[in-house]
Parts: sequence; structure tokens; C-alpha cells
Amino acid sequence: MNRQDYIKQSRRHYRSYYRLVSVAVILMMAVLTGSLLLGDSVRGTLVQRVEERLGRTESILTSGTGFMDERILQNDLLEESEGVLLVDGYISQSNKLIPVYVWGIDNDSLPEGNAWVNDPLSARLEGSGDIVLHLPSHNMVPSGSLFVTQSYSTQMRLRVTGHRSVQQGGNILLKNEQTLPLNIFVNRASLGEVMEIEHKINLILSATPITYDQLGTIWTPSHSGICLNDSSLTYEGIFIPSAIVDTLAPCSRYFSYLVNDLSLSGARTDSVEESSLSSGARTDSAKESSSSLSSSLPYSFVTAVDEWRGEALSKRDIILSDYAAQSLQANVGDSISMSYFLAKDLKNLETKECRLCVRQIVPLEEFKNDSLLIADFPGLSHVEKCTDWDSDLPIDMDRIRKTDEDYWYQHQQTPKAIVAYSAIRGDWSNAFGSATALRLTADRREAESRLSCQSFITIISPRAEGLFAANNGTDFAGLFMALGFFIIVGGILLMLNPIAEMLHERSTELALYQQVGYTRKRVLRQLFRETFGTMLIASPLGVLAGVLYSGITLWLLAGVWSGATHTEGFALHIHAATLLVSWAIGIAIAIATLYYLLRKSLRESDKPRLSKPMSGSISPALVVLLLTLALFAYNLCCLHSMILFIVCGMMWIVCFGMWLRVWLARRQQAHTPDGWNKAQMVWQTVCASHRRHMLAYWTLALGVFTVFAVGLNRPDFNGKELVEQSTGSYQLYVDCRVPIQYDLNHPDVRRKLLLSGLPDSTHFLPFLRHVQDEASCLNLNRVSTPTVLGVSLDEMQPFGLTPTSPSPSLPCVYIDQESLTWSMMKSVGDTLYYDTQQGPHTPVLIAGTYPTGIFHGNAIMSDADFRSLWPKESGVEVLLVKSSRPDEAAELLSTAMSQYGLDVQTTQQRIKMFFEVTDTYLVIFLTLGALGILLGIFSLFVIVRKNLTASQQAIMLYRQLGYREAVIRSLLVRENLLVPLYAMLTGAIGSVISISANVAGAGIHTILLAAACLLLLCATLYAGVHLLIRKNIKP
Amino acid sequence: MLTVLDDLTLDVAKGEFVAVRGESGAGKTTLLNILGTMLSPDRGSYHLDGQLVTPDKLSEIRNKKVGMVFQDHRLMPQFTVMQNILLPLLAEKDATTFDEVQRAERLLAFMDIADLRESMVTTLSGGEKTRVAICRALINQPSLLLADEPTGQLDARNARIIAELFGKVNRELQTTIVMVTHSEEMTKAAQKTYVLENGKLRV
Repeated sequence: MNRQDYIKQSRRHYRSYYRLVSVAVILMMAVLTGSLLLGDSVRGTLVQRVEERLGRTESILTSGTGFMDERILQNDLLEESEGVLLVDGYISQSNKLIPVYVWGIDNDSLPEGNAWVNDPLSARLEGSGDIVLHLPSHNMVPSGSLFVTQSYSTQMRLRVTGHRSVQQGGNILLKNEQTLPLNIFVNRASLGEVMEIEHKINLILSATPITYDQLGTIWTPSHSGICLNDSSLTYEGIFIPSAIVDTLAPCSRYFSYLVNDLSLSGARTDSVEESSLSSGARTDSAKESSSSLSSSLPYSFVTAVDEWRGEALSKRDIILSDYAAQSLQANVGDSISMSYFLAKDLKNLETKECRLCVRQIVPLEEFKNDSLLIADFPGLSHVEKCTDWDSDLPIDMDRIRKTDEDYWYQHQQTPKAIVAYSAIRGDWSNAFGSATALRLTADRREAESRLSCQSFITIISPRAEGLFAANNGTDFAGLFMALGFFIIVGGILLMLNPIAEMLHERSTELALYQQVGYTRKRVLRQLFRETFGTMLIASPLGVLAGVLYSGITLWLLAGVWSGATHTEGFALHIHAATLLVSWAIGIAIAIATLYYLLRKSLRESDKPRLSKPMSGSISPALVVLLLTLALFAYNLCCLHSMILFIVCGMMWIVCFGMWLRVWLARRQQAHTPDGWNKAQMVWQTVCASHRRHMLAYWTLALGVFTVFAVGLNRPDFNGKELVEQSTGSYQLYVDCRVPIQYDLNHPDVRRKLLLSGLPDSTHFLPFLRHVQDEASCLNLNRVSTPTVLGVSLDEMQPFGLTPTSPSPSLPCVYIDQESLTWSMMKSVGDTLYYDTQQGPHTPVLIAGTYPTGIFHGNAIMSDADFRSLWPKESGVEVLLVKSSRPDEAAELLSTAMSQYGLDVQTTQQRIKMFFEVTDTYLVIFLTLGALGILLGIFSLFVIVRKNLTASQQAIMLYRQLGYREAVIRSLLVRENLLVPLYAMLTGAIGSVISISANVAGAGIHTILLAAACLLLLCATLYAGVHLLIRKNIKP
Repeated sequence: MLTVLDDLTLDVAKGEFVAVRGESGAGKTTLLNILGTMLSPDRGSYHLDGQLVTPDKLSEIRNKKVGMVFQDHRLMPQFTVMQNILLPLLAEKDATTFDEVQRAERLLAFMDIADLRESMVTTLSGGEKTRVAICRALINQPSLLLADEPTGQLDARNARIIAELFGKVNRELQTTIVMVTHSEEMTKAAQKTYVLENGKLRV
């Protein structure tokens, strides 16, 4: 018989132990491997999604809020590129809004009137027939400016004729998100026509990487809508951005404007310097006074210039056309009053009036011949009559006279007067520009050289960004390792206990080896080979079980646990390296555990088996108890810190662990001067194996504490208090696909938008929005730049946001703690970099956090900072609504403002959506934690079995001393159950202490559920121990 | 089926001290286990104190009427000397009384080990352990004391002392003793010695 035979024989003899060891190794290895594979699978799926959504795209050229001329695509550099007109839109179907990305593409097989949809959108659409696609009414002039038409949206009737598969780029998305987008592809030419932006694109998807230098070689100003002549410059977007004006300085600036009134001063008696009126809200008295004036010109175009005929104009100067002078009966030197609308935020209009002095009167033809003095405003230009004007401004058509119509018919928007640019610059300039035309001093070539493509087009390398976001996103390996922690610990305990039990059983054998001359090292080596061999054989099964575990978890994540990711289609990615690493980790843990146990057992085989007498002084336990109570009381009365409550809960467990030790030590030393009883007898027996019992205490108490603390901290998502805290008591959350340019709190605006039926108590909290990446827990990618919401920070107090001003020079944002930590992996004081009007990579400071609530995943910024960074994004895209009758308000908003594509949902619904993620993770943790505790209890059964094996002689003695079987069983049950039950109870009480800050928030259902779970665990423990005893002490 | 004891009759009078000798495997321990009610004979009957021993009250008989001393003492290592002695008293109730403790103390004094009252049994010598085991066997004042080679692990001097102690118990406490032994010393202490051979007893 050689050593190998001996090992085989021993393994066969002790197979019942080795079976348990194998199960433990498989379990531990499965969770380790499974967790690492989950990390790989989620990461792999995210990377796959990047490939799917980008296709062959290597560079994206975007014109931001502006447009590019599609002729830019004719350059060789962009040969492998696709020009796209991308806009947000929505499809309304069965009273539901489906927000979509509308991709205007140039594809011969996609004729006008037809549309293709991607698979996710196809699944959402009911039937495959005709659809109505709603679009924001874009045109070349931004809707936030004053001179736009009244309609803010338009629509296209389309027939869905095909699908664009993933391989065909159907799931293209420019954001770093794993959720599949809803894409509709339409004919670019027809989309441009509907939106009045023919031959324009705003996106170029290039299959080859493109640099700014390369782009600079092909780009001309005309590609970005700049009409540059030899001596002048105009812009298709009408308002020339201030940056261009500054770049081309010195130059002469022109600004065309529709003024409300020109009148000869002195003729008016009730003129005011300035009055504030909302849009559509001119007062009746004002109407009457203006219509009564004979020497005034209503609604006239006036152009502001820096100089006229080479001469600079002073701020008080006005040059009238002869037509205007005649109409006003004005002469040089007369005083002219000019009133005009002045736009504040959200088109809150003010009417401003200024007094000017007639410097010169010139023939109208001179104005007419200078094209720079005339600008084309949508809705105003190119109509036959003034009364045909389609303007968002509150124009009083009653004031327009026949003579005004005659003028319009003959001269259209030819200005009636010229004023000094310096006089109106602050009033007429807007977020989109500070001039409507420029007369250049530099020649065309020089002007061209000064203009750079970077001012108009941004180049993005989406693949690198996408892969970075995917590879650095939520760490599922770590997450599931943490979630499955208790199973791993349970597995280790389960591995530890059978080996310990077997070694205990073989203690005579171990002693014998040493007696017959084996060195301790040799005995250790022999036992190690015997046991480790089993582990080694079980380990590949564990790895395989890990693959199964990750597969099942991914299946659950797509099913009952889908609330955690809101994503389907996670694919299992198995990497050999991961399998090897997890196998190596598992084996390392097994070796360490085995080595520790073998050494310990061999050491103990030299000594008597009885544990050393316990030492347990009462003083430290008393100090810790007093400290725990004092800290708990102080925290409860003054601090209310959740962390401190958790610390108190843990201190409670430590304290009662110490008390248990003191108790056991005292029982062990207890003498019997006057008598003895069964309780003392039981405790003294427990003392005899105090180390084993203390290990059981710490394992069970901490396990129950952690799982129950998490479970009890699981908020009641229906709780009124929680919802109020998270929503600031606002009841409705409104997402607008078409930005709203009005202040909905103003009564006149409500009248204009047919919202007068809203309850008076209705209050709107408007938010500007710069859309970037979703940073909420729904996005598994790492987010660098979350979507920014602009709002007055004073309004954010109910949401727990306290503004600070850490840096006066940098714009600041506030981000909810969860998004900051998990999605962005940043902290307060870090800097984010956004592409803004101030330039690419504008630094924005993270100034603070706010509690996770309705704005989860968004960065909150003051509206002032927002407007300075993204002045063109002036419309409201998010609204919170507070009303005494929220249901009515929701219905009215949806119907009256249907053209804005409002998606109205209750704040509670939205909060629930976010909380569902946290809740699902908690459920996963609780499920795996409960499994871990059950495993811990199962390993406790192994200890009990070991105790029973060791107690066989004692049981026999009891019988011989006349103890009845029931009494013996009762003694054994008490010996084996007292400490575990004490541990579970202590852990449970500790967990209640840890949630003292939020006992009410836990909800009665959660507390009852926790109590039921505790009872179930205790019952499982009791039943298991009872069964084991019945089975093992048969007479 | 193996026949260990065959057509065996043993009468022990009240207050008698009987020693049973025999070779290993002769059935001495089986006989003792039947007397201690740990085993039941396949055939025949067992009368104790003039009453037939029936299976329904075995625990009570073991506890109240029979005391046992084992070769390996079978003391509980986690308990003190006093607690080991009191152990049989807790078979039927939850706590011992003061009188019972005093009785145990008297037994300790009787065995000349009163100073070991609160010692842990793991610290005792073999002879001391045997004395403790005898005290435990006597705590319920049994009518029959059974001993299974009580001096098997002791040296000659200690074996003699234990033999004297058994004699003293028999004499002074009027306890009936049946002892299985190989020891000459113990045999000398007994009033009657039987030899167990081929399943049968002979004087």
C-alpha cells in the first residue's frame, strides 16, 4: 500500500465529510466565478451596445443647435460619411406619447412619406400602418428668439415601410446609454422641407476619424450658413453670434428689429419710459392711447447701425426715411419716441420706450437699396399683408392702418428709420446673436481666414468615449461579489466545519501518527493532500456552477430583477482568463482555510481537548454597553445621524458578544454551594466549547444584522413622507419634447395657451435642460457629463439642495449623491467639462450634492449659469406641477398643450421608477443574503452534528444515570440552540437600532416581513437541530 | 445469533458484595449491563428488590435503584467534582436541593475527598476520579451498586485503596455491590466471587 492508496482509502472512509467539503467548494467557487462573469457579461454587453449603436461611425461632426449645408458632404474627405438631420420628435398613439429620435437620412430606397423604424420602436408601435410624427417647428431661427411664428411644432404623416436592423445601424444613439433607443428614419429632404430647413444637416457620421485640421481644409463659412460677400456678412440663422461679430471686428454692425411704435414726441401725453407687460398682455388703456395717435407709425422695422454714410451715430440719433418723416410730420431736430418689446427670460416681454432726436431725413430708396438694412424674419417677411403676419409677438392688428398695409405692399420690411447700434445693443441682442448683418472692413479672404470651423462644428470621437463609458461603468463583478458575500462566507463556513469535524473525529489518528514517529509537517502534508485533492476535484465543478450562476442571474436580471437595470438582452460573456482568476482565488481561499484548520488541529492533538478556561471581565463589556446606550441616546435626541445609528447597531452586537463571553466565563467558573440546576448544566456544557459557540455568535449575529439592517432600511416607496421629501410636494413631472418658451405661471400665458381652466392653486416650476447622458441608476455606463437642469436655486430648497458658492469664477452644478458616486464616480469639488457656447470643454464645478429624488441623474445648475453656458437652450423642457387638483391639471396640460409633446406623469411614478432600481438591488441582496444565512445555519448544523458525535459518551452516561430520552434531547437542544438564537436575536435588535433614524420610513409591512423572516430562521434552526438530535441519538 | 450468557442464574442478597471474574469476552460487561438495565435479556427475567424489572420504568430504575461505576469513570469534564456527583439528581427535576448538596458533601467526606469539592475533574488523579464516580453512583442511595472494573486503570496501591472503599461502602452503607473485575484485591474485598465462563457462572 503506497501513500496514494492510503489517501484514497481515507477519502473513501470519510466520504460523508468530503461530500460536504465538495459542496462548499462548489458553492463558494460558483459565487466567485459567477460574480466575475457577471462583471464581464455586463461590460461585454455594454461594449457590444457601443458597437451596435455606432456601427462604422468613427467621428461625429455636429453643428449643435445650428445646421450645416449638405453640400459639405460632396468633399472627398467626407466620402465615407453620412449626412443626417437629427431631431427629437414624438409619435402619438392611443393617447400615449412615444418619444423618438428622428433621423433624416439620404437613402434612395426611403422615399418621401415612408419611414423605417428600429426594432425597439417597432415593438412599441401598435400595428405597422400610418403614423403621425410630431416635430418641433425648427426653421433657421431659434424658437427662443422674439421673431418666430406662433406654432412651435409641426408634423409629418408617414407610412412605416420597413425596419432598420441592428446591423443596419437601427439602434444608432449618440448618448452613452445601454437602453435601446426608439429610432425612426425618414427621408432627409422631406424632413427638411417640413421643418423649413431644406438642404440642411446637423450631423455627419464618418466612418473614418476626422480632425479639425482636416475639416478646416474643406470647410467654408457657407457650409455653416454664413453668407459672406466681398464687404458684408449675413447669417441664415438671422442673428449673427456675438463670437463671430467679435472675431470680425472692427466691422459695422446692423440689427433689424420690429418696433412697436414710432411717434413724434410731445404728441403723446401718456408716454412712459418703460412698462412691463407680458406677451399677449398689452393693456386696454395702452391700446386706446396708441390707436388714438395720428402722428405715429405702428409696427415698423427699424435698423440699428454703427455708422451711416461713414459717420458714427450718437445714441440719441434717429435717421428717418422721408416716408416716416412725412407720416410723423417730423423734421430734423424733432424728438421721436420709439417703443419696442424687450424679451426677458421665457419671453416675459417688457415694452421699452426711448426718446430720440431726428438727425437726418433720407429718401426711402436709400434704405431699400441697402440689403444689409433688411432682415428676413420667419412669419413676418414674404407675406402680402401685415395682417398675415404669423408672429409669436402680441401684435395688435387693430392698430394697422391702410397706409401701413400700403407701405408693406410696396416696401415690405424696408426700415422706416435707422438708429444708433450703441443705443439698442443691450436691448435687442439676444442669446443667438448681436447683429443681423455686418459690413466688413477686412476683405473677404481675410474674413474667411478669421472664421474657424471649430466655432460652428464640433468633432466627437464617440467610439473612444463610448468604450470608456462601457468599460468603466457600474462594476457588476464587485457588486455581485458584495451581494453574494454571505454565500461566500457561508461556503467557507460549510467547508470549514466538515473538515474540523473530520479532524476532530480523527484526533486519535493524528496523535497516533506523531506517536509512531511522523513529524507534524509530514502529517500535515498527508492530510493536506487528502483534503486538497477533493477540493481540487470539486473546483472545476464550482467554476462550471459559476457559469450557471451568472447565466441564471442574467436571466433574472432580464426578468424578475429587471428593475435593477431596465435593460434586456444581457449576453453571457465567458472569458477564459476570468475563469482562471476565479478558480485561482477560490483555490487560494480553500488552501488558506485548510492550512489554518490542519495546523490548528495538529496543535490541539498535542493538548487536552477541553477548551481553555474562558476569561471574561465584566468591566469592558459594561463600558461598551454604556457607551452604546449613551451614543444611541445622544444620536436619537440630537444628531439623527444614520451612520451613527448603524455604528450603534454594530456596537450593540459587539457589546452583547462581550456579555455572552462574560456570561459563559462566569458559568464556567460557577460553583455549587447550595445546589445546582439544569440551566447551569447547559451553560457549562456550552462553555466547554466556547470558541465554537463564539464563532457561531459572531457569524450569525453579524449576518442577521447586515441582512436585516439592509432589509429594514428598504424604504417604503409608497410612504407619503418619502414621496414628499423626494418630490418637494410637487405632484406632476412634465417632460416637454418641444421646449416651452413661456412662463406658465403667468395668467396671460395660461389664457394664450388655453390653460385658464387650471386650478388657481396650480404652480409650475420650470427647468431649462441641456441634454447629455443619463446619469441615473438606469444607466450602467460611466457618465462623464450628466444632463443639466437650469433652475432658480432658491426654488430647490424643498428638495434638500442648499446652494453654496465655492467658486465665483466657475459655473457650479449640484448632483444627487447616488449618481455622483455610482454613475459618475466623482466627488464634490471635481470638475466636469461640457461643450458650451463658451467653447468646448468648459469647466463646471461640482459644488455639492442633494438627496436622491425626482431629479436623480441630473445636474442642477442655477438658471443664470445655465443661460451663460447654453443661451440658445432657452425653452423650458421640464416642469414640476403643484396643484390642488393634480389629475385635472394633468389632463388639461396633455390636451391643451398637445403640440408640445408633453409627457405628464406623477412625481410618485417617476420616483418609483428610480427607487425600483435601489429596491431591486436590495431584493437581490436580501435574497442572496438570506441564502447566505441559510447556508450559515446549514454549516451550524454541521457543527451540531459534530457536537453530537463528540457527545456520544455523555449521552450514554446520561442514559446510564437514568435520564429519560426526552430530557437528554431537551438538554442537547438547549446546548446547541441557546447561542445561535441569542446571536440571531442580538443581530435583529442591532439591525432595528441601526434603522432608528428611519423606523417610520421602513413601513409596517417591511417590519412585519422582517419579523416573519426572523421567526422563520429561528424555526428553521430549531427544526434542523431537533431533527439532527433525533437522528443522531437513537438509543 | 451469538449466545453470550446461557441459562445463567445469579442471586444477590441485599447488602451482599459480589465479584464476577472472567476472561475477556466472557460476557462480564453484558451481565453488568443487564443488571444496570442498559440491556434486556432475550429470555428470562430480572428481579430487583424483589420486583420484576419491566421495560417501562428502566430510566427510573437506573436513576433511583442502580448506581454504576465505570472503568473509565465517565465523568463530565466540563463540570466540577460536586456537579458530577449531583448529575443523577437532575434526571428527574430541574434543580438540586440544599439537602442533596449536603448529602453529596457527606459522600465526599466519606470518600475522603471533601477538599476536591469544587475541583474540575480534569485535574484529578485516576484514584480520585474513581472516588468521584463512586460518590456519583451513590448519590441517589441506590439499592444496587454496579462496578465495571473500577480499578482497571489504577496502580496496585490505588487499587487496594479503592477496594477498601468498596468494602467500606458495603459495610457502612449496606449497599449491595456487584463488581466485574480482574483484580485480586477487589476479589478479596468481596464476600462472594463468581467466575463467568462459557456464558455460565460458577462459584
